[in-house]
Formats: sequence, structure tokens, C-alpha cells
Amino acid sequence: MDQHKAAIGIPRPAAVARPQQASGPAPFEAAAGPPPPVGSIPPLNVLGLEVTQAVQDVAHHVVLIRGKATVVRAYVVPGSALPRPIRVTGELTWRALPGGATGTLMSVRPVDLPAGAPAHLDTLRDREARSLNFVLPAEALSGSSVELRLNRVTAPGGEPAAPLAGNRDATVRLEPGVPLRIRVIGLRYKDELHSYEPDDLHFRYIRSWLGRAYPVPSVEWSQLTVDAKFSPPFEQPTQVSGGTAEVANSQIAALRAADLATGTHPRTHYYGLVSDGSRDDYFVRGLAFSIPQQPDPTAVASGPAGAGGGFFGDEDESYADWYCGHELGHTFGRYHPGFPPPDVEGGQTKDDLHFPYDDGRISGADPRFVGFDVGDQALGQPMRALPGSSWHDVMTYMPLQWVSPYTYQALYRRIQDEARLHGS
Amino acid sequence: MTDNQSPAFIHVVGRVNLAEMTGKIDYVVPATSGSQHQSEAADEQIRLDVRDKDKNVLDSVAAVLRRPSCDGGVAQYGLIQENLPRVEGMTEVVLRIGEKVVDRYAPSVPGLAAAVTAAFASVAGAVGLGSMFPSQSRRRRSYTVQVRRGGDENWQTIAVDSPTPDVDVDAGQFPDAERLYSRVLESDGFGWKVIRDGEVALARAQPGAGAVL
Repeated sequence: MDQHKAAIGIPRPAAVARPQQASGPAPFEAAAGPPPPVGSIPPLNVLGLEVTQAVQDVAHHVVLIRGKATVVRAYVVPGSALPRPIRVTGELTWRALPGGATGTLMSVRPVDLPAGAPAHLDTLRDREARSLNFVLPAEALSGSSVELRLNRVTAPGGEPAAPLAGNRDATVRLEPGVPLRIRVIGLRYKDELHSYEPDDLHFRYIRSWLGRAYPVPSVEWSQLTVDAKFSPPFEQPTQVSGGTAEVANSQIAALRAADLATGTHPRTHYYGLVSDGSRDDYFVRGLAFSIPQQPDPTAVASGPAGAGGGFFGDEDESYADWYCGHELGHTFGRYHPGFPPPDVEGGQTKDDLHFPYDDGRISGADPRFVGFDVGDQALGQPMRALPGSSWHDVMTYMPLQWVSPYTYQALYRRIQDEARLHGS
Repeated sequence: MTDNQSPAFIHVVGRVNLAEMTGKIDYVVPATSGSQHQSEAADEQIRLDVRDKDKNVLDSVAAVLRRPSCDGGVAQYGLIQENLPRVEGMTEVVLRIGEKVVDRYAPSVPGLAAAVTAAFASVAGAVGLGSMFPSQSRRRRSYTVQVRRGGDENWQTIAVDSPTPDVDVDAGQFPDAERLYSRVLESDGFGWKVIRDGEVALARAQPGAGAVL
């Protein structure tokens, strides 16, 4: 792959393996096996409550959006070294403000606290199974803030509650959000033998991913598949020509114009989706035209769809989800931060000079920010923590893509700005 | 929408390559709004001229070159997406790079004809089209095809600038639709007219089974 190709759209490199979990014995195990012996629960220390929607730090510096799927993570450790592991579950109370609606939640699953010395907070944050996780209901997220208290921690089955000390309360502010308005258009093409169009699965992955990773309370979604104005062989974009992706984007722009003339909301972003046909030569690299410096939903983009297969560390059934998140990010004004650097194969230009984290990660060298994917049961996507040390910002060309706080906050501001101009 | 519409604007979508001095008007679509909120400054050398039958320039708009998302915005090619006011007497839109005309869009007969088969006149004279922009010697009247679920307010466009009003759609894309409507708009780019409007027979709308609109 030559460098100029690598600099335009996310290229298709060899599969990238997912990073292994930390070596050595895991200090915690997911509470899925037989429970540890039941004994009295010693006093516990609550290291804090972290309220997360996509990425967060423990002080809640990342915007929390009213109505967006939200998980409260409670970090609990024993007050002193445990002689044997214990399994605990938790109960959280919430109160929405103003209004005062209240409720009580049980943790999604128990957590096993391992024998030995209490773990450090950073260790707990890196794995979803090391925190008591609570999925807040919509009523809890409808106000301007929500008060939270880790009410009880018990052994499953009714063991008396453990005495709790530490930071068991939190109040977080919820900012207003607006839906992401997007229409994804599958572009159907034909070769001599077959017709190719993205499976519905890819649309569902995109819709779900955008809802989980983008700073919006919901996704106002529509999808359609139409006949493309191009066919193989495909021309990849270069420094002197946009190739097939440019033709695709032109068609998407025209469809958008026709839709808007007949009533579609002007804030709707349009994205073209092209099946890779499970063939390398049918992989049409993604491209956005342009990167607007001011709110401009007329900017369109397109990208490929296919099975993950290790592509950028993605092992699930579709890479179209985060790929769309990248190209769509351009239409919201996000630039490439330059990871990998442009002078290596598969690198990208460094167009965003302010990206703050090394190597394109979603956190700095300190583990301050941790990504969190609330998951999607319908797609088999688990709830999981995404350590900032191994996950990378969606605007990079690095493996394992998610949103950094930097990109997340910028997307939030831009989407809000678009809503101010065009209505929510 | 009334049968005949001549909205106040037209929307031009095209591709321009400044390095090769080539360009192509891909689509011209009637538009109801002139507001674009484009964030980039227009490139004064890329111009869309609205002309009358005597080649008089009735209006001229500099276009924004929407460059691709990489290379720090230095690429010399990109899309243009411009709304132009619809001017009385206009017969063609010309895409220019500097003084060089690189493409023209011109319906043959001003206004919309009722006949579906009406043709567009030759636009011979467009010059400088590179291999990436195959020249069209003739333009035909085009068709925009839209579908709408029962209960939905808005139409979704499934074909734009189609040379034929007959478009296959996999109505299985609308598995939850109790009713599905379609319409065909005949367009010369400057205005359009609904020439077909009706309900799609969902009995044939099984996945993989195309319904002809």
C-alpha cells in the first residue's frame, strides 16, 4: 500500500489482534462460576461511583447527556486484606432532580472480591466485571441532575449487608442533548455475476454503535438501499482523484438534496454504505466531503461494510459501525489526529494539532479516562470497559476504536450547534 | 406537492478537479431552500453560471470545493453542492473553472413536457472533460423516485436523475410497513412534476422480490 492511499480513508490492513488482558493471575474474576464460600462480609470501602455513558473519569469531567443510556459503576474493595474471596452484589438508589422521582436498582451482576489486599481503583476501572454496575432507567435520566447512593452491598442470597465506608454518594449534572439524525443509504452495485448490497446486519451495527458511542440521547434513524451509480472495478481514492468514493458521495449528496426538497429534516446527515462483497478488490475506502469548520449537515460521507474478521481489532460481524463513526465524525468537523503518523504504512496526516493523548489513545499516559460500552444484547455486544491504554480514538487509523473524551466533547458541541441552527 | 412545481432554487451536485481542470455536473435537483450554511469560503475560480437561451449570464455563483477528508484539505479535487436561485428564463447551468467551461446542464425544452419520453438536447460543446468524467453527448429528462411508509410524513428518495421512471425496489426493506407509497417525479432539474403516485402492492414485497414502481 503506498502512502498516499494510506492517507485517505481508513485503509484495509492485515488483521490486528486484540490486545491480551493483563498478564499474571487476574485479581478479579467475572462472577460467573460457583460462588465463593459464604461467610460474613467484612466492612467494605467504596472507592467511588462513576457515572459513564461512553467515556469518563472519576470526577465526571466528561459531559453526561440527559436521556442517554447510562451505567453507574460502584468500586468496592474490602477494608482490609481478605482471607478468602467473597461474592457481593449491590443496591443503588437514585433520585432525579428536579422532580424527585426515585428508585432502587440491583447491580447487573455480582462481583467477586478476590482474596488478598484491596485492589487499586485503576485496576477496578479497567474491567467491567470488577465494578458493581447499575443501568439507570429513563426516569432517572430525565432531569437536570441525578443523585445516587450505593445503598447496600450484600452477598447474593441474603447475607447481611456489609458496613460501608467511603464515597458511596454522587450527584451528577445531566446536560441537554439532541438526537443524532442520520440516514444511511446502502449503495447496490453489480458485477458480471452478482448484485452486492450491505446486509441489514451492518445497518443495525451502525445504528447501535452510534447510539452507544456518540454523545446523543438517541439516534433518529432511517435507512434505504438504492442502485449505485458505479460498478466494479473500483478506483480507490488518491491524492489526485476521489475515485469510486467520490462518485458515491456525489450520489448521496443528490439523494439528500431530493429528500430535503420534500421534507426531510435539514439536520439529517447522510452516509453511503458500500458492501465489500467479502473481496479485497470490492473494498471501497471511506471518504467524507468535507470537514466543515462550522456546523454543516450538508457534508456527506460514505464507507465500506463487511465482517470484522480482525479488521482494526474488530472480531464481530461488522466493521461498518466504527468505520461509519469515523467518516461521520469528519462531517461533524473532526480531523485526523495523526496516528499512526503519516510516514509509516497505514498512517494518516496530522490535521488536528490539538489532540491531547499519546498514540491516539482515548486517555493519556495516566489511566484517567476509561471508555465504557453499554453494549447491545440484541447484537451480542457485551457491556464492557475499554481501558484508555489499549483503545484508540475513532478519528485515528489505530486498532480498537472508540471515542476519546476530546472527540466526544467536540462532537457534543457540534451536534448542539447544528441543532441551534437547524432545529433539534 | 402540486403536480407541477418550480421551486425557488435548484441544487447542483458535481465533481471538480482543479489539477486536471475538469469537472462534471452530476445532478441538478429542484430545491426549496437556498440556505446551505456552508462553512468554507467559495473558490472564486469555480463558478456555476445560469444562462438564458442566448447564453446571457443571468446569475453566477462561486462554488465551495468540498475537499476529501484527508490530506489536511490540500487535495485539488472534491464535490460541489450548491443551491442556486431559479431565475426566470434560465435554460442551462454551466460549470466553469476560471474561463474554461467544463460542463453544461441543459434541458432541451424549457419547462416540463407531459410526455415521459421527451428528450434533452445535446450539450455538445462541453470541453475539457478528463477520463474520470466521461462526456455525455445528450441528456435525457430524468426521474426521481420516492417511497414513503404509510404514516410517515416524508418521502425517501430511492433514485435521482434516473433515465427511466421504472425503478426496482426491494420493498422487503420496509418489513414493518403496513402500507407503502411511491411516486415518480419527472424533472428537468429546474422543476418537477409528479407523473405517478400510488400505493405499492406489498403482497409482492417479500425480501428479495423487487416491486416495480
